[in-house]
Amino acid sequence: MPKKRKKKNYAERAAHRECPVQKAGVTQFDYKDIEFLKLFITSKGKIIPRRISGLAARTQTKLTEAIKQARNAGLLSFSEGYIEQNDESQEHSHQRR
Amino acid sequence: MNNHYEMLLITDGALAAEEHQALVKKIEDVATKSGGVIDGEVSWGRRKLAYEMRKRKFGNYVLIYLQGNGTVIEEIRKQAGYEEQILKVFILSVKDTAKAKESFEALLADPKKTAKLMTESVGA
Repeated sequence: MPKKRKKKNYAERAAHRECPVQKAGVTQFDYKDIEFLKLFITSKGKIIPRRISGLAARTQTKLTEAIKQARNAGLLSFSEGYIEQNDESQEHSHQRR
Repeated sequence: MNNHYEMLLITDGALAAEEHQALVKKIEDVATKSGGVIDGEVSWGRRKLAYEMRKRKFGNYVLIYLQGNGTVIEEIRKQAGYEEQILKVFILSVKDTAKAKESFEALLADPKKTAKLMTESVGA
C-alpha cells in the first residue's frame, strides 16, 4: 500500500510563492499612479486581500497606504474603484455652473 | 531645516483657466508669505472626480512642491478653507521635492509604465 502523502498546510504552500510585485521590479508606490493601483482593487473598490493577491507583507502594507491616499485625493472611488476618464459628460458639467 | 512637501490642489472644474491660475497663485502667495518656498508646480489638467466634492463632478488638478515648516501648512489649510472654489487640499511630506517632481513628470509622460511591468510579469 503506497504511503499516503501528507497534505501541505497553508503556511507551507505560501512559503513557495514569490511576491508578484517584487518579481515585476516595482519598488515605489505612488498614490498618483492609479493605473497601477487599480490592479489591486475589485470593481467595487475593495482592496484585494493578501491571501488572494499573494503579495509580500511589506508590499501589501505600502500598497494599501497608497490606495487609501488615492481615495482621499479623489483619484479612486471608495465604493466604485477606478473611474474612467471619458470626455462625453464634460460639456454637461460646464452647463451646470 | 525645512521640510519638503507635495501638495495636491483640486479646484472647481467649471472654472476658467485664468480663474484657476489666480486661485493657485493665491495659495502660493499664502505659502511664501508665511515663510515657505515654492519649488515647482505641475498641472494635471481637468479630471473627472472619483466622487462628488461639494456637488462638483470635475476638478482641475495641480501639484505644488514646496518647502517650509508646520506653520506654513497650517496657514495654507486655513486659507484654502475660506475659498469655496477649492475642493480639496491634500498634502504629503516627501523626502526631496526635486525628485518627487521628476517622478511625477515621468508618470505623466507614461501613466501606464508600472502597470505594464506588472501585467507583463504576471502575464494576464
